[in-house]
Amino acid sequence: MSAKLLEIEELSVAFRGLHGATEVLSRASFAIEPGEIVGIVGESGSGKSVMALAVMRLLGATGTITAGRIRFEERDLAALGEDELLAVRGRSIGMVFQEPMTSLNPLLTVGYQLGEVLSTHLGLSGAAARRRVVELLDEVGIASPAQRAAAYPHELSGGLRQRVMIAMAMACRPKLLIADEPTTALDVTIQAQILELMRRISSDAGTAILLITHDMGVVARMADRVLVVYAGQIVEDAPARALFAQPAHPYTRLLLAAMPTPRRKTGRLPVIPGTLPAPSRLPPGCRFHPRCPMAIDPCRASPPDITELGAGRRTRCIRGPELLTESAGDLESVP
Amino acid sequence: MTNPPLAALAFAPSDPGRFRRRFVRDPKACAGAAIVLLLVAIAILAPALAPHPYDDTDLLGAWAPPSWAHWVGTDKLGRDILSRLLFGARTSLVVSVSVLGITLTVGITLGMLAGYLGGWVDSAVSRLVDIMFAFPDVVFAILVTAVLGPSMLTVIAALSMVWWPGIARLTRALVLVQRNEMFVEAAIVCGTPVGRILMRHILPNIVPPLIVRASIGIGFIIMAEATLSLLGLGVQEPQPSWGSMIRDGLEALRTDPYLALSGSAMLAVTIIGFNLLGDGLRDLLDPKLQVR
Repeated sequence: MSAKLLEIEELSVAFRGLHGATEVLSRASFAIEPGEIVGIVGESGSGKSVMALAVMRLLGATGTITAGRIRFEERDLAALGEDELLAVRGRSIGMVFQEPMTSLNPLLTVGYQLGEVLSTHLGLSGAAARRRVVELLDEVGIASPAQRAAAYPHELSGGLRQRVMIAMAMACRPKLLIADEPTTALDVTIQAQILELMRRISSDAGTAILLITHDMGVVARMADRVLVVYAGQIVEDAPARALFAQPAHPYTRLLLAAMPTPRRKTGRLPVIPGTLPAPSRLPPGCRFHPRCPMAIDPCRASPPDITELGAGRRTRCIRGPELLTESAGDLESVP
Repeated sequence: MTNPPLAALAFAPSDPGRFRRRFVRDPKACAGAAIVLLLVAIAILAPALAPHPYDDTDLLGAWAPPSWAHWVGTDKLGRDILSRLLFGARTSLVVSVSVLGITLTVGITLGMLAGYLGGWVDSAVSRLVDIMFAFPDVVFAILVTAVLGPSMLTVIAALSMVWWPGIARLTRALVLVQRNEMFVEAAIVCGTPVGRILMRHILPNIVPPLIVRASIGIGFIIMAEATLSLLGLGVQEPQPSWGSMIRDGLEALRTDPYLALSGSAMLAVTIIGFNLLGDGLRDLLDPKLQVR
């Protein structure tokens, strides 16, 4: 096993509100290896973005890391000071946001903003910076990069802006790229291009990607490994192929069943009954049991721990092993 | 900072040549700049341009209507109004531009720090601003002049002290909006130092409303200076200022309107000039309004 690039141990994050602190991420542990693409899937509000923000230490004034460690290249990011973070952000870890329309400063040319990253971290300036900016824009598949570099953000389309954002995030050849719903704001054809671009860059530069999305299709396309998040907990962690073939948590299975596929010609897609519980009103026992078709009495009694299943898989379901042994035909019988 | 100067960076947004070309093609900005330059020229060349000394009294010729000897007439002491207008440009421009310069510098700096850093910095600045707002402007200005003694510098100091809190509060509010913009977050994610985020990413985005505020402020400051002079706390007679000339002229507005009207006309032209220049600059700084 190669050395881990990012290792998150028992990470908990809470937000202070009017009624005291609310824990939105509970004791999450996972690791990313160099060059690996890890997808994090979950519903809105499940805590998947909070993980990314915690790694970047961008939780704002009200969010705090209440427990756990974020080990990145021998350093604990959770304990770094603001000054030390400046050297990590943009240098060792790049980040791409959901909204390419508002992620660029409207008053500066994209070339300038890209050059700023180069000057901040690599000390490049003048002609050297200009050359590198054009190279980077070319690398992310932007046609006539020299002209585009002098363009203002409003002169570019959403897809082009997202390419610029990727170029900025990749400018210093970071070890890790965090992409928070990078394609949600883009239309489907552009989505595919951007994903392809990210995958190519990852393999060319050996950059690991932490891909946060609620789109199972995106994960299936991109990820080597998948983490499924529900109500602030990691409920399943598995290699992508294994997860899609045979999920070991009922939530994952229902998510997959709710995915439209061209082969299945049924009229309506199944939905998961109920809604995600608010972090302040979690049910006792397993957090998913009120919505789980497989819930049994022990599920209501005590919260399950995440357990190893072997072959690099973990699940937070006491009936997980059962799910793996059941044949695919039996699975269909569960709504 | 160990980083190379940003102007040397690739694709710097401030290309002086292009800015000049667009400036000369913008009629508003050109008209504003012409008016402001004209006023500055008047202030500098006042001794050469004025037909009479500004303090030459002629009590028998008081309140004279316009004539060949006195183009705009004379005031209550028979002094030539035109000469006093020309010299008054010095007082009014020096006071208003100095006060604007000081208040913008102080107000923007404190407002940006308060808005961006938040926490105790914000609390300290905001409470200080609240305290300043609690005093009526004139009362505070009287307090300052009572301590420093009447002079033009005192007027500048007093008006600066009552003017910066408004700028600081406006700046803070504008920064609060910008701080939540994604591009600021993106800049943080790229490891951009705080100073550069403030100067490069936030400041240019909050300049347009500040320009509007500043160009409106010119008129208010010129009139506030007149109020202080009326109380004997500002520029002392016979030194002319537009504000005090308008005030003197109001007493005789029905019988001899030339003093009040000519003073007001100069004030109006000044305000229009600065507003046009401000508007033009605001448009020139917005890349979305640029035609290539």
